[in-house]
Amino acid sequence: MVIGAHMAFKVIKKSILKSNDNTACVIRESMKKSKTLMINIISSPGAGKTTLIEKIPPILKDAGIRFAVLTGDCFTSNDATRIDKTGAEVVQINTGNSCHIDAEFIRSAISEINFDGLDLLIVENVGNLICPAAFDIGEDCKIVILSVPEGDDKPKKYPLIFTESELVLLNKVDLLGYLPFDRDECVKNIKGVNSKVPIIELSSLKGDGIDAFIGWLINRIKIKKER
Amino acid sequence: MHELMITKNLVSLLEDAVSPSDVGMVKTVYLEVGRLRYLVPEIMTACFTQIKKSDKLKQAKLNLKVLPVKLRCSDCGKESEALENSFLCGSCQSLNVDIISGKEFILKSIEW
Repeated sequence: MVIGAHMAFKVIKKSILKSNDNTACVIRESMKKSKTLMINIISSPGAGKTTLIEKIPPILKDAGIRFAVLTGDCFTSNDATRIDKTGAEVVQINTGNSCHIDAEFIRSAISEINFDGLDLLIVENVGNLICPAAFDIGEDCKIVILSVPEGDDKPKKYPLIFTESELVLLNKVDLLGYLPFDRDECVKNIKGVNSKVPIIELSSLKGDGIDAFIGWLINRIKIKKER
Repeated sequence: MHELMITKNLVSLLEDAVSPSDVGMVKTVYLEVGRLRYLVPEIMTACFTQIKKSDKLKQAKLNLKVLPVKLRCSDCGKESEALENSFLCGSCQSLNVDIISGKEFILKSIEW
């Protein structure tokens, strides 16, 4: 501390999100103990998060994977209702005025889940490409979904979520050819902000490419178990 | 609009920082935020004005410095600044780069 004539100064140098990050650490530790892979799925509204999550429960069950879903929405429980119909264990997180899920929302929601033998926890974040990218919620990895109708320039407009993600899912590829979307340009834009990230092309509605995503997930679950 | 949540976190950190008796009425709060964080300084300032604060923080103004995106190239080893959202090495154009700055979210200091 330096004290001048009428002025004093104090160096703090702390992350503004320190309390969120501390909570995220607690969550990460608890997932480490139960060896549960926690994925944080992020996209714009309407990119296909819920549709993808609706498609995978029967495939995961066949593969012997026990999983649960936390689904985030500002006000409604529409997504939880849709996912509940698949027979999956689901908890709705209503974030109110918050446009993203933070670690505190997760901490209260996971008290409703039995982690004994839980292989996978899927978090469906609030539809938004900016805010969720900023918050660590204790996940093992972020996965971003970009859908064809959104346009091939989104990685350039919202780079952080693409640099923070371990996997990019390019969804609604069944619409390629119907819309002015340049696939090669999109891949170039993604690689331009995260050169090493794998990209899986899929159509969660039609089912194409979902196997590749499941393969990626199973491998990632295996890695988590071995740690 | 993640500014409100972030500003709430900031105020709670600040309340801890100003609690010692030798800290006076804070004039300026210095922040460093990376460009990739997409914080809008005007929104953050508006949020900061609205959130309830203790007396020592009531007059405080935010001084928010936006830090550029800096890259380190794994191929040529050089550092460069990314001016656009294509993270290529400024020297050899390689994509094999690490982001070494641009994601900061730091409460740097306070002045009173």
